[in-house]
Order: sequence, then structure tokens, then C-alpha cells
Amino acid sequence: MSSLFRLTIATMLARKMWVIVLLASILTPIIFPLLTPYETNITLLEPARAQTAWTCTWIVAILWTLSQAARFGESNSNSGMGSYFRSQGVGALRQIFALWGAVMLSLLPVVLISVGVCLIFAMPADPKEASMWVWTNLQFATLLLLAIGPLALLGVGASSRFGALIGYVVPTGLCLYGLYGVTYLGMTIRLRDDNKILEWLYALSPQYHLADLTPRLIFKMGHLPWPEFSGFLLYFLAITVVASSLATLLFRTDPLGN
Amino acid sequence: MARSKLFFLQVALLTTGLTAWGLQAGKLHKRGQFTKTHNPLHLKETHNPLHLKESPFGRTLSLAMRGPVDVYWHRGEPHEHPPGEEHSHSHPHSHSHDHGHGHSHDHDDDAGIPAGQDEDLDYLAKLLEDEDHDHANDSDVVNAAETFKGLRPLLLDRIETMRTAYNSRTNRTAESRRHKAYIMGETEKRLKVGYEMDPRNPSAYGAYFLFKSEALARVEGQAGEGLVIRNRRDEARRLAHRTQHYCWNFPTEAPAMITGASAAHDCLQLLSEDPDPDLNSVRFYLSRLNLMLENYEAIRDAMLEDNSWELFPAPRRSEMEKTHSLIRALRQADIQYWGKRLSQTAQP
Repeated sequence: MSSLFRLTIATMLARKMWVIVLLASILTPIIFPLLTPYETNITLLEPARAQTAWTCTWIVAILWTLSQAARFGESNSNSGMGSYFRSQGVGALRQIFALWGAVMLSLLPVVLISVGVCLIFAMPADPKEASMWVWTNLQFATLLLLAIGPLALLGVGASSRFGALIGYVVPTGLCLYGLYGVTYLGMTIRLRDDNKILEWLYALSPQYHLADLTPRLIFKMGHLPWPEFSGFLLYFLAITVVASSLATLLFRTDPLGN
Repeated sequence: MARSKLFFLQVALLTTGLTAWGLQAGKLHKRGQFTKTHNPLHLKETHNPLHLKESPFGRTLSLAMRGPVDVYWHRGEPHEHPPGEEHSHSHPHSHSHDHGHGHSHDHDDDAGIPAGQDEDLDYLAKLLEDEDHDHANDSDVVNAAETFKGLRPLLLDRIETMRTAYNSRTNRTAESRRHKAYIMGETEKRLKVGYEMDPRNPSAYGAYFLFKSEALARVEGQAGEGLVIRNRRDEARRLAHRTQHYCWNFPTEAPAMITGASAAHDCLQLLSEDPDPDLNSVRFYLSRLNLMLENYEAIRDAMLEDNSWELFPAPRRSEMEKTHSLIRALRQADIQYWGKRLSQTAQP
């Protein structure tokens, strides 16, 4: 394991934010479902738990993971740490992936907690439904990591060159746009189906809302059919290739002005 | 690896990735997978932030939406309803354009829960009878402020006062027709959100349907008004149909059944204005109305038996019971009206 990776992990542990994140991801699925009118319909609790757990994971990923990525990217180049490690023979590629790996590793427990909450506290009783439930959760975890991972890498790369603010705002903006903005755009297009430019923009926007399987859990719709899922997987892998090559192109190890 | 080689590799990867992204996006787009069709209500193209609509949280939000709706309805002045007395403008659709609160308490509900069986409801009924509609309970508020009951009630009181002040109206000039239309439009938007959060909620559906069917959100007296009204009625018809269809999927939930029944009645009501109604759909809606109403009664009786009925908050129980007695009466009217028409067309 590279020492930059270990250093990043140690820094995150020292910052203590992980305590709040873990507490939030454990407590919100317990507390929030109590806001539903479950007294009259006890079956509301399970879908509400699943919804809360995964929504919390998205929020943590956007607020914490992406901001950490931007922060580490900037400090690595600005503080001279990157230059130091490069003089020790650690190349730029190994550096960016060490930083990214540490940041993503810290998101993993949150995702695991979400899966755990869904599998332990919201498991359907029917065995057929239960196996679908497990697969939906695993699909969800895969897609979420595949959506957030490249964005975090892009954050590290962009912030090392342009500073933490841009390194945070750009990936976060992309993520929110893909989760929500794109749906607005889609509605606009369907209302007036003659605008080629808008249609292009829509088709080439990252459709991150496809990675959010929350409704499949709330409405117990079962897992994604496998051919569709592999299609989604390919789609997000293509975005991953684009984002990571862009990120590695942008990444710099030396302070600005050097 | 030499730096230039690495650079070329990165650029090559970028191009490959872009191509793959484009190809895959095109493929998914063509198969229509960018649009979501998961929604049972076919709200597929509408926006659903955090997937709240129709989710368990949506039910709570649907109830919570009534506060903001109230502010608009009463032109900025929140108007406290006695518990259980939500906007009862939803029914009957007498087209009388009477937008006031129909404070006509029919407590001799023949079909509802008889007095003495539900303590909370009896208490509510007593409150309503005592109340002479000029908010005599204002003095109670003053009394509450005088006797200090602890920090929390005090703070709640303070916040309530500030909220009232925030919403208070000092401009007493009458509003223009356009302004009225704007406010009604805003009200309708909020009602729409409330409805979409939980289409099973009888009040959320009823108020939204009323707005649509009466085309309340329009500039009165404007040119082309007739067309606007016709369009809105069309939307109302679709809304009612969709709602009864949606509620049909929840045969174990009392609120869904009563909302579905009232939506089925609304469908019949709108069909009765059609000069040449489709009699098959009339039969369909009549049977849905019957089934859902009976199902509601069965659920309620079962819940009364095992005492789970009281788990519904009292205002919600009273709201469901009121809708129930109304729809029962209206069903009678529907059966008489359509029975005549159906037999007329069957004979020749």
C-alpha cells in the first residue's frame, strides 16, 4: 500500500468527520421512518427505512466524499506533498489513485450500512421477493459507486489544478444535474419535440438518475432485468473512462505557478 | 512510462470513452430507458425529488402541505380549522361556486359510526356543535398565554404568533381579477404537489379535483374562458379516472378506498354532463364505486373490531367518515340517475 494512501486515510481519521457520517447513516434509517403515518399501516416502515438509508448515502457521497476528494486534490499539489512524493518515485498516476482510493474507501462503510439496513431491517418475508430485494440492493450499490467514483476522481484531478472550490463544484454540479436537472430537460424536450440542440444536450448528459434505484426499493419493483443492468453498467463504465482520463490529464503534483 | 506516451494513452482513452459513452447513450436513449416508467400512477415524466411522491414520507408531506395551501386559499391569512374540519369544499360538486367553508355538519350520518362508538369523534362532534363559527376559541389562546405551562408551549405559542404576523394582511383593497387568478393558480400548484405526494388522501384529492373541475384558477371574464373551463374539466376527468385506478391497487387501505370511491363518483358526475356518455364506462365506474365503498366499510368495521381504527388520528378518521357518508348518499343518487338512463338505452 502506498504511503500516500495511508497518509490520506490517517488524515481523514484525524478529521473525525467520519464519526458524524457513520452516526448519520445508522441513525437516520431509525428516526426518519417514524415520521411516516406508520401507526395505521405498519408495512410503511420497511420501504421508508430503505428510502432513508439510500437517500442518506447519496447525500453523504455528494457532501462528504466529493468535498474530501476536492480538498485532498488541492492540498496534495499546493502543500508540496505531491512534489515530495514524486521525488520519492511515486508518479502522478499512482498519486491520484492513492488519493482517490482513500476517499472512496471511506464511502464504502456507508454503502455497506445502507445495504445492511435494507437486508436486515427491511427484508421482504416472501423468499422470492427477498432474493430480488438482495439483488436490487447490490445493483444499487454497484451503480452508486460507479456514479460517484469517477466524479470523485474528477474532483481530485480538477482541484489539483484549479483549486478545491472548482474541484468540488464541478463534480457536484454534474452529479446533481444528472440526478435531477436532466429530468427537467427531458420534460422540456417531450413538450416540444423539434429542438435538435436540446435533444443532443439531453442525450449526452450523464444520466445519473439511472443509478438511483430508490424507487425500485420503495415500490418493491424487483431488481433491474440483467440485460438492462449490463446496459447501464456499460454506460456508466464509458462515463468512468471519460471522467478518469480527464481527471488524470488535469491532475498535477506540483504547486501552481511551478 | 515516458510522459509523452502516457499523455497519448490518456488522450486515446478519452476518445474511446467518449465514443463508447455516445454509442451507449444513443442505444439507451433509443430504447427509451432514459425515461422512467416505474411509477404506478404513471406520473412517469413528472419530477420526483428524493422520490418523495407516493412514498411513505409522501403521505406525511401530503398532510403537511395543507398548511401552505391554507395560506394561499385565505389570501395570506392562515385560518385555523377546528380539528377534522379540513377544507370541505371538495364535495358536493354542486357547481354553485361557493368557495366558502361548507360548515354544514351533518352529524346524523346514517351510515357512519354511531355516536358513542368512537370517543375522539364524539368529542370532535361536540366541539363543532359548540363552535359558533366566529372563532370563539380565541379567548382560549389568551388564557393559555396567561398561565405559564412550560417552555415548550410558550415557544410554540410565540412561533404561532410570529407566523400569524408574518402572514397577516394589512392591505385591505379588493384584489383584481388577475391577482385572484394568480393566487388561485398558486393554490392549485400546491394542491397538485399535495395530491402527488399521496393520491390516496381523500382531502388532497378532493381539493385538487375541485380546483380542476371548477377551473378556479382562471381569470374570470377573460376571452376564451369557455375553452379554459372545458380544458380544465377534461383534466379533472383524467385526474378522477387516474385516482380511482391508482386507489384500486390498495385494497387494504381505508383512505385509498374512500378516495377511490369518491373519484369513481366524480367520474360518473362528469359523465352525466356528457350528452352521449359511454355506457360501458358508466357501468365500470358504478361497479368500482360500489366495490370500493363496500370495501371501505369492511375495512373500517374490521379495524373498529380490533381497535386499530383509533390509530388513525381523529381528524383523519372524521375526514374519512364525512367523505364516506357523503359518497354513500351520492351513490344512491348515481344509481337512480344512471339506472334510469341505462334501462332507457337497453329497451329500444
